[in-house]
Amino acid sequence: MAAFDASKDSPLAMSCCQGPKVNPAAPEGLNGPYPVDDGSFGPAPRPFNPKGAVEFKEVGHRYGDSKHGGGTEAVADFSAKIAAGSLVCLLGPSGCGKSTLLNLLAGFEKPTKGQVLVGEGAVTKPGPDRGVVFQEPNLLPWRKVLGNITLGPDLAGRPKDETLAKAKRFVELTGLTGFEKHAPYELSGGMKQRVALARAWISEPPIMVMDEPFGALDAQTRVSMQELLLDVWEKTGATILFVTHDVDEALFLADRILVMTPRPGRLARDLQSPLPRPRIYESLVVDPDYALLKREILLAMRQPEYVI
Amino acid sequence: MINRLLLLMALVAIAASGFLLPSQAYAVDPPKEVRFAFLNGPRPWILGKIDGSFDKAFGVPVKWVRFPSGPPALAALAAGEVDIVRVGSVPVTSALSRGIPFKVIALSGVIDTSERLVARNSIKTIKDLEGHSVATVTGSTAHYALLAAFKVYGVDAKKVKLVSLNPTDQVAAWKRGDIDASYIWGPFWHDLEKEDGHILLSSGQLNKDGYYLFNAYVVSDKFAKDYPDLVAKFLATFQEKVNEYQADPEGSAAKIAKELEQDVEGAKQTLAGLAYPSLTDQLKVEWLGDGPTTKDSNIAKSFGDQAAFLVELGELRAADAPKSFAPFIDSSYLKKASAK
Amino acid sequence: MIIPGQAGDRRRGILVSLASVTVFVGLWWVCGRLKLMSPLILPPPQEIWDSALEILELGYHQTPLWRHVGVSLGRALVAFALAVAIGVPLGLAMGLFPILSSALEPFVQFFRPLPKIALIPLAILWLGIGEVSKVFLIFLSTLFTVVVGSAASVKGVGLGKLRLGAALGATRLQLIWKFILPASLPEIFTSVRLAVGVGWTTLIAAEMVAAESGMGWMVMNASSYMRTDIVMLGIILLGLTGYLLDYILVIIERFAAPWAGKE
Repeated sequence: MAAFDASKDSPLAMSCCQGPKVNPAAPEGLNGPYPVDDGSFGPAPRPFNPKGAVEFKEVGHRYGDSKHGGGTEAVADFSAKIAAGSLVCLLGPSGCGKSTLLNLLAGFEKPTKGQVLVGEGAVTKPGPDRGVVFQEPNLLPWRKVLGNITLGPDLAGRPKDETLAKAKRFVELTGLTGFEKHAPYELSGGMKQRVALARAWISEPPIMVMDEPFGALDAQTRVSMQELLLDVWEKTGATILFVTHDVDEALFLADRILVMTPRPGRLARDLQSPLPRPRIYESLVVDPDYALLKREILLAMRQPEYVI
Repeated sequence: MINRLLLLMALVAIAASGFLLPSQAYAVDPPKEVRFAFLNGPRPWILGKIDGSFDKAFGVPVKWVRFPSGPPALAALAAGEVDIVRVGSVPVTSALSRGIPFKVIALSGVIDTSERLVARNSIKTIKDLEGHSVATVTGSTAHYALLAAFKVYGVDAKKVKLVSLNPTDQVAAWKRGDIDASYIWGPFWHDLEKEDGHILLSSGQLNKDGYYLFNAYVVSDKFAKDYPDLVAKFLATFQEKVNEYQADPEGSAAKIAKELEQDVEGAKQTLAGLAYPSLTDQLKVEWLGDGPTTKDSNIAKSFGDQAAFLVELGELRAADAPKSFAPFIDSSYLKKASAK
Repeated sequence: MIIPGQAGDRRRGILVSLASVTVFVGLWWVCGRLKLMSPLILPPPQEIWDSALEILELGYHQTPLWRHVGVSLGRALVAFALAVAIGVPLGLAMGLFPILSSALEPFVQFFRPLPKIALIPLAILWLGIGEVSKVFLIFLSTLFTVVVGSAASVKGVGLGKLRLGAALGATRLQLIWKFILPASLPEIFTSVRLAVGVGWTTLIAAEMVAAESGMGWMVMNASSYMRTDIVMLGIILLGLTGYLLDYILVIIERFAAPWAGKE
């Protein structure tokens, strides 16, 4: 299923063979730690980039007057190691600081405590090694669809033909063929978010940061976007940190689900998903592991600290 | 410049009042107040503003409303905002032609040296104005006098650059050297003469050629109809103030200058630059005559000349200009006031 | 009630506008016909029409009517062009650099609401009575609205777009040129349209300064002689020309920022 041939010219595809084997698709016991250093089983390996590793080290963040202990504490004492190439969902109620964690990883804000580490070291500012997909598509209305997709390479001053070749691949991958010359305001919400995905992905960042990107879409569109996301992820490889408050979305997408407490956000549960890939919605909902895992998450979210 | 805006606003006010008050019941009670429109020029009647003589004569207070020039004052009269206006003859001509309902009741002063053509010292004769820029206030008596002077002294008006500027702006433009001459009323020529300026002509010198420039008192038809006695009392009081001024020109000029916050010397010269024919004299054919019945009074003829001049300028439609201005002159109040 | 996007909306809107203008002029005409008020107070449409025809044929003060319109337009357009050329970059710079904004804000806020008529004597003293002082007065009344609007447009650029740029690795210069400027464009257009409206109203004040042609001068001059018919004609011309200017700006905006209002 890994479309190796489709990514032959990609530097990510080259690096995949030298890095440690990772296969997050392998099912394992519900509670057991996931063997990230052992890729000896499962289907064909996915491309991945060793620079995609992420670590939150005792991260705390406070908004407002943090020096004197005032302000609002959004995140407290959050630690997690995320393996390169995995798809991790941050799950929690609104206001639990999951978007704050994403902003810290993206480099939009600096943690008031602790550190966020990526393959290239501690995060200090935004950078092209971390692609971001926002809740809003955030397309630039003065550029056509194609121009929005090629925004990153254009800013980096990449050669035009190289950029266009890449853009063609991601236009196809995201199902935007035929819409290249459309203006963003001519697209539906789902189509806009496809453009946003392609725009983030065209630079093939080792890490993708996604902040409830499908939250504003209707149910049908959301499912097809989730399938699209998995498809692209499997073909390109990147570490994805995906924020959502939708339990089913997390179950459908994730290798690993980090459940957070309400504000200040702390890590409540760290769950590995045993569900097999490729994931098909219709089979998943009747999978007993799906039900068990969902039960576990729902129970975790009923703990006393959730009752406000 | 502000006078023109005021005029515009006043015209809008007329329009509004025309909509809102199509007809008003005639008042028989004495008015709550009598409203005078006055301009910045120093004049003897300002003495009555200082000592309240008009208020005493009427038995009701007088409200003095200041206007920067004649046309907006007449627009205010048309809007029913003022009752009695002292104004130059040219604005009176255009306002009467445009059908504003008022009558000329007396001359407040005949312009002699109070309006002057002042030029840079380097310009020696009126003919020399050709090729230079001359400022004036559009539609004023000075404007009329300037164009009359061009005719009398054989100046090709096409070779003169006429600049329309309000008096205070003329002073600013003069200081910068943007204008070379100006036909303007006192006290403004005083500022020009102080800085490289000298008199080429004053309006009285045009009388021998048949051009009369004067200021008149006009009263709205409505006020005159309702309060004819007050109009007569007004003229009698005015004559008292003229007498007071003539008895003590220096002292009066100082008082008037102080009231108007002007330079004493400029006020003195302006006041001295006007002739004040007595109320009795004004009844002669040389001036107003016997009103509507005297078709050939000098003043009625002068209005006719000025109307022709405005038609020639294109400011007035020939059809709008009355055949005779005699019907708009009402000297009955002069008679009443001088009989007292 | 507004039901957007319905076919025929636009056409119906135009028809209603035309009808309301026709009814207004019709009532005015009837008032004039029945002599409900003196023609001095409100000249009837036919008198204004006759005056218009007369002036079209003979000109006003030996100057053809189209030249009065052209002279005013020329003054205004030069002033607008200068105000946009100076005001937009200045406003953008103020929006981008808070220090500059703090330094200039007091002056901008002081001058913006100032009646420009008050500046006429100063304009004459500084710049004389030629075209420069007239253009200066219109320029001044236009400039500050453009500056304030452009500065606000920068502040109105969403955090999302700035974060997007940062995440894509844009340099500071790229952020300004490729994100902030284009994103500000619709609001800049709005402020220019507002400013042109304000500037157009200053035309009358500007043409009080020793003018001998122009629509503002025509209105002022005619009012000195109580020619209310020409005053009205001038006002109608001023209004129509102002309307046209705004319409031209709308069309330019449609080409320059077709996404405006559609995000």
